[in-house]
Amino acid sequence: MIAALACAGAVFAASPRKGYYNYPEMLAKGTADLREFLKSNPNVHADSIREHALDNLSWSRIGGVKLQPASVKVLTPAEVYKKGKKSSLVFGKMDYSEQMKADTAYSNASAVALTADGICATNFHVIADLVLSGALDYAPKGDKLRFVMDENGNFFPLQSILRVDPINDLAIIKVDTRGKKLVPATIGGEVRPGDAVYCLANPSGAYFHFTDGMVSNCTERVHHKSGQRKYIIEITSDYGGGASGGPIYDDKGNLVALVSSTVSLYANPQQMRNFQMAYKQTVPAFLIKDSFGK
Amino acid sequence: MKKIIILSAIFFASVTAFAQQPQGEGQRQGQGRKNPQAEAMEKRKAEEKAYYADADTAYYGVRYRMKYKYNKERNLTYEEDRVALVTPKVSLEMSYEPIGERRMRKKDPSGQSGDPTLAYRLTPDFYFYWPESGRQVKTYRILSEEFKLSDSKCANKWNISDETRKIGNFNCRKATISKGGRDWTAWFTTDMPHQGAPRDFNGLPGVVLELADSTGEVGWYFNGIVKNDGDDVLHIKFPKEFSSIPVERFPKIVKLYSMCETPNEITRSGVMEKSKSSFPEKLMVSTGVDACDIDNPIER
Repeated sequence: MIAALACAGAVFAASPRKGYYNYPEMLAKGTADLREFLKSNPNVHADSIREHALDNLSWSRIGGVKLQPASVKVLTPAEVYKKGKKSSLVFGKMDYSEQMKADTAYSNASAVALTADGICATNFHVIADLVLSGALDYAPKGDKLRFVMDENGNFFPLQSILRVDPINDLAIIKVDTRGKKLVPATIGGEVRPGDAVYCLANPSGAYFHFTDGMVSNCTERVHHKSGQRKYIIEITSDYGGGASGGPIYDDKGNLVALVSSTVSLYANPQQMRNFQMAYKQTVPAFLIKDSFGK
Repeated sequence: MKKIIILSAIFFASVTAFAQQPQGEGQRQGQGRKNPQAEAMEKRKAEEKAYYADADTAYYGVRYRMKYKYNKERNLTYEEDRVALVTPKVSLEMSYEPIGERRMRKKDPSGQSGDPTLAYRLTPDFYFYWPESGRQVKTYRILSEEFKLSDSKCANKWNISDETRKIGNFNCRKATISKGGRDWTAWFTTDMPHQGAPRDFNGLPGVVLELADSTGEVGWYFNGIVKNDGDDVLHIKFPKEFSSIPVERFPKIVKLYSMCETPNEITRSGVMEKSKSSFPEKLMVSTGVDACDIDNPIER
């Protein structure tokens, strides 16, 4: 009887159910896949990215890239999810674990596809370590590669960093699509307080996590020391650590912002006790648009 | 899958362990071991002594407040405290912030507030000048990487006039020069010995106390004399070696680092570990005036 139940349980557990996804399993498979890929493609090794970090880096606009124009049809939240998930990406890292004596891939951030041939957007702080250490010829041990993963569990290693805007926390990166095509997001226009927005990113432990909300503020700051400008769209859609660089969509499924950070307010800020609220700061999509063109 | 769970467990366990570390470690280390803070302090002092072993000691320093309207369109002005350190052999003009901050902390180790006389801006550029040979070298330090940006002979052709003026208690004489697309006026004194000047405005037979361009957009204004203070010595240390990174890469590096508002990313990148020594002092993050949105360059 017990054996029969155990057997039935095993069959039940083993049956994949439509609409449910085992993302950790995808990541585990990806580790094996990336290990093999890295052997024959040393150019995607993190050390190689570091070594050439400044070679490809530009502060001028990236030419010859056509972004997807905005959609005009208003969608239901379920439709926004379906459309947005195709372009939303898990951003991850593979490094050598001393404890496990093996390379392991894991998710630590998010990204969004901008072109079919591998140009994506994420936050500067997601790839800052590569650029900042690479600029000064420093390579920490054990760092193997960075990658993005799409909704189908396809893995695309980071190939180069094309443009960074540290003040606005934006990075434009290029991944090796390995003969496949990414699904680029359609890029929306300006959003204003009250407009509906959706976040589709990968907060720690969750993948392609979908939350709704609205734009709560659009702000501009001038750095008091440097005079540099920082633009922020504040939103109410929920997200947390791991969502960095993930897409924020409008009600037409257009990319209108990128996740950047959260600011938590406490009744006792010194002790960080009695949490009150967290507001979410995102990177406006016009900065992505401004990264391209003549 | 299992590996990911294990890795996650290790990660969270390590976060927890780290958060709890101070108590346990402190108790263990308290038994028969020196205070780790005292040990670190001793190590730092030894490193400092070794690093400055071949440095010159300034006879004195001239402190300036630099004022620079760097963005005309938006009417933005940058201010930084600078100092010219003077010896008969060599002078060095650099940011005063590291000296001022250190002296303020020494006076008031537990002080929460800063020094109200400091502008708290730091550009890590260093202008060395050897009066006898006329050699002048500009270096720049990002974290502990020393870049040599120029090494030339001073070619300044000053016009020294008979016009005089007092700055503080010092008798000064006027000198003018056209340089880098601006017309400059310097006021220098021979009441103090040797030579010293802001930036690469070397070559006058005295110490420059004030320098400004004719538009008033850029200037260095006398802000007092700085002296050696017991064991707090004003060192002039010319780097023994420079970074192996090609200097052609420097503009991109400085631009990148200048845009990092907070040190978090730099710390997380691990690049601070590149140099294990505390000296040369890692002038963390700050690129001072080079971080500014400049539409009115000093050299036009």
